[in-house]
Amino acid sequence: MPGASEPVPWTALLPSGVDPPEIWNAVPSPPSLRVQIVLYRTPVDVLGRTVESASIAARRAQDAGAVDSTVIAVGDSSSSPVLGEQQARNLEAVAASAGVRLTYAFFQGNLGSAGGSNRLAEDAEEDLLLVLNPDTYSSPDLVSRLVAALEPGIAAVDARQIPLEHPKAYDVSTGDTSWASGACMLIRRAAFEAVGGFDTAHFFLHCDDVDLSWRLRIDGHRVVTAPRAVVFHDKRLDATGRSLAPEIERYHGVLGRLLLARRYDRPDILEATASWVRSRGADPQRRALAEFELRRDEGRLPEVIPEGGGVATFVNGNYALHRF
Amino acid sequence: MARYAFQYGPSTTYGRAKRLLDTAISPGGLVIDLGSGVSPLGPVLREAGFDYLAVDNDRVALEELSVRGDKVALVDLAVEDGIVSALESATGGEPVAAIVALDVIEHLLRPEAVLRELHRFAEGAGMPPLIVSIPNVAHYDLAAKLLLGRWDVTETGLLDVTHVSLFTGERVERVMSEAGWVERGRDDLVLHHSDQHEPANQPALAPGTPLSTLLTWLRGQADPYGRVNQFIRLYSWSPTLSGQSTAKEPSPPGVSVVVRTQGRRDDLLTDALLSLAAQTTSDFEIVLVVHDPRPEMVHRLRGLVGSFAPSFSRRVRILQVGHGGRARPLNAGLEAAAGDLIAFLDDDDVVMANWVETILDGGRERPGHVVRLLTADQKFVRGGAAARAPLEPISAPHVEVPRRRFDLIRHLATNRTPICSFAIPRRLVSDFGLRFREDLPVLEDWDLLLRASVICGVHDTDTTAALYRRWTDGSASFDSESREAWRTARASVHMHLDRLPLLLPPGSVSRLVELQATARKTSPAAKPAAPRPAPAAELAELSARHAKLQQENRMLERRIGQLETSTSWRLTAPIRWLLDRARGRR
Repeated sequence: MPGASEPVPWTALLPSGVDPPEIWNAVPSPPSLRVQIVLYRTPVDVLGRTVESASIAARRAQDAGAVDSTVIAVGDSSSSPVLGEQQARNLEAVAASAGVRLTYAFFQGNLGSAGGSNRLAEDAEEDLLLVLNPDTYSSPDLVSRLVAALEPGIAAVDARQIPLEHPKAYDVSTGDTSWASGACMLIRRAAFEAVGGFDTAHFFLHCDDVDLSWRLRIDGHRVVTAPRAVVFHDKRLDATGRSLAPEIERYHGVLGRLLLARRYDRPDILEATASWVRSRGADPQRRALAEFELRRDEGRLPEVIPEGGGVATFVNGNYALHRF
Repeated sequence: MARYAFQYGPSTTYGRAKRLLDTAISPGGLVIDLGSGVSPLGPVLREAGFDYLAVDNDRVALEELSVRGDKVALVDLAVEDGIVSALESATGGEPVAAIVALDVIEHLLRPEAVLRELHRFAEGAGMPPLIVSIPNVAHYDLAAKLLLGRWDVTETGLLDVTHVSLFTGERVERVMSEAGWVERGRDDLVLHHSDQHEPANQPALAPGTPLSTLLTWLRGQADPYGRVNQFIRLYSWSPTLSGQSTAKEPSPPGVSVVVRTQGRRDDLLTDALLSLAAQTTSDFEIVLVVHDPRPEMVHRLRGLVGSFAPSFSRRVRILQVGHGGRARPLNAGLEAAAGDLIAFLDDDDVVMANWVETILDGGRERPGHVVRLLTADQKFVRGGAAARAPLEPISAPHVEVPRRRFDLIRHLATNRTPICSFAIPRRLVSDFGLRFREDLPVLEDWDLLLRASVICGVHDTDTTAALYRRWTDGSASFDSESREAWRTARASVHMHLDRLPLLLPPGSVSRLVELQATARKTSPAAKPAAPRPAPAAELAELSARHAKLQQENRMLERRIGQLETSTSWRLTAPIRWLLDRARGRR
């Protein structure tokens, strides 16, 4: 692209007396992009669709000048590799047909979504990270529209999910929202690294994205939703309209909640959650409470951020106001 | 005595064949009458200025004709590879003006081969037109009796004991075209009651019974030949299509998804297409019908579709429908669909990843049924073009539990099945002529579902696989005009269904009795069973009068047939001809 320059290390841009957060916004235009997908027993055909659509979206963003180059980094948290050698090469070819490079790494251990994302970002040099669930299908303009929403001061943007839109509210004039969903989240890598990425010491699955979003906001950044950036996320409902959530979500949902309540200085929420679990909780939820108490006894809970840093939101069991 | 000796008359097979002949060629030249039997055509054609040659394998019949003064030739059409040389020698290699083959093809064991040989002969004989008459084995009378286990072979007639090749309308069209004959005209003989209309008091045959009414309607949906006794068709010679196309037809997709759009909201249409692109299976095609005449609309939508991965976009066909009401594009989609099942998606709805898979599974579990699935309803408000979001949800997705099982009786009163939650077997479209009613301004999908489910029944998959968006824009709530249109459409749907007997699924008797009991309970000022409401009574009376008129019509038909073949009719022909001329008729 004419006029594109090599990424400049942030230290060279640091004049004296300027607050560091503003520097993170000085990315060269157009930015480079790293799409990160963490697998766990993902069927190969599902992954194929995810990669194919993400490649198309990245390609279109490149053609529109919104991003410079893209790499798709796939990390496998499964107990045995999802992709054999030939399959990995086929997947690389799918991405390559859209002009996108793909890497596949088998983690040899279940790092969870938080750990997987951090591992994939470890050697990243790109300006932007797009954290993407393996059960998503990108709309053709997803990447362009996410990047367009990344105005100065904003560190993370999430997309509108279909068919089941996330109920969390956002400011209709600015897009500001309490937290960005890790199913499809575009983040400035510099900001991500400055806050230490996902907190893998405490979070494994669920609430890791809430926690990251709140730490970014405490660090002075905004987190927004871009509803015109659309991603299909394969969530389903049962015949009575209830969400089909796997058991594991119930465990991590409670554990994450307890950890958030702890870190963000809400002992009232902590206590209410614990007592609810004790009286009405199902098995996975009780086990989560037990795990939390174990960590507490072993002194492994996160440090409290007084008053939740002014950003933490706990409303009706959710981490944002919900529209419905 | 020859086997067949029929009279000539204007509305008989011979008369119709003569009329078709007159449309094809002017008098003069040789007409070959294949399988003539003791045909009355000789004198008629000679009088009209033609030469006549009767061809048959029946010596006795040819003797009789010979005595009468006709030229004859003995040829056995069953020896196919001798046909061309036999006819060439019979005609002395002279050009032929026309060939008629009336009620002979059904007597041949290998009609396709004979027709091809005729085609070869005709090529060297001046490419004459061919007129055939073939009895219709799919006449209603035969179909109705076959359902009851009867196949009454007779000496002569539709099930003549010597008929060895049986033809439906479809077979006639296919066989003739494959042998290189192109249809140019037709004058099919329609008989409401064929010679197979016996016993006349059989409920499947007797007019007006629910059984015969329903069966007649069904038969009529499949093709227009339910009462055709004989196919009488005129063909012109054309260079044969080189056999069947050898290119292997791609196997049809399991599902065709018809998406109609007016192309006004690209953002919402993108949502719909995205949800289709994300399906767990690729065994489906999309027929995107643009309801707008402007070429730039198609161009723009092609671009939109093309922005998706090729593995998806190559399964999307774009059709354009310039005019007509809401149902016109849906019908265009139905007619273009190739999948075994046809599903529908409005351009402002979305489906879950397992939508097509659920339909496919349902079709495998219960073939031939309408497949039904559940939708979650969610209320939305549309965002304007400049709004941050193209739409805003204002309620949580909600599945209506009472709608889980399809109940035809309840559905007659109220629709509980959004268009994205059912798929119909394509056979309904191809074999039963099922189409959306284009005269309905609204409720066209409900009407189609009712008509489809009456024939096919409904298989409930009990799986939530679609999201039905209820638009609740503050302004456009149901205004009085649209309420009126809705009421009228609903009444029209009911009225159309009321014209026919209704097939109700098992269990319906108890439901109806129960409903009546409930109705009586809720109006305790118990009037005795109310008299049938006026419109139904009028309808019944009109039906009865119609049936009577039809019967009178059929009697007249028979009488005309008798008159035309009577001696006195034929003798007075010249007088009638003069009178017609005087009245300025041809």
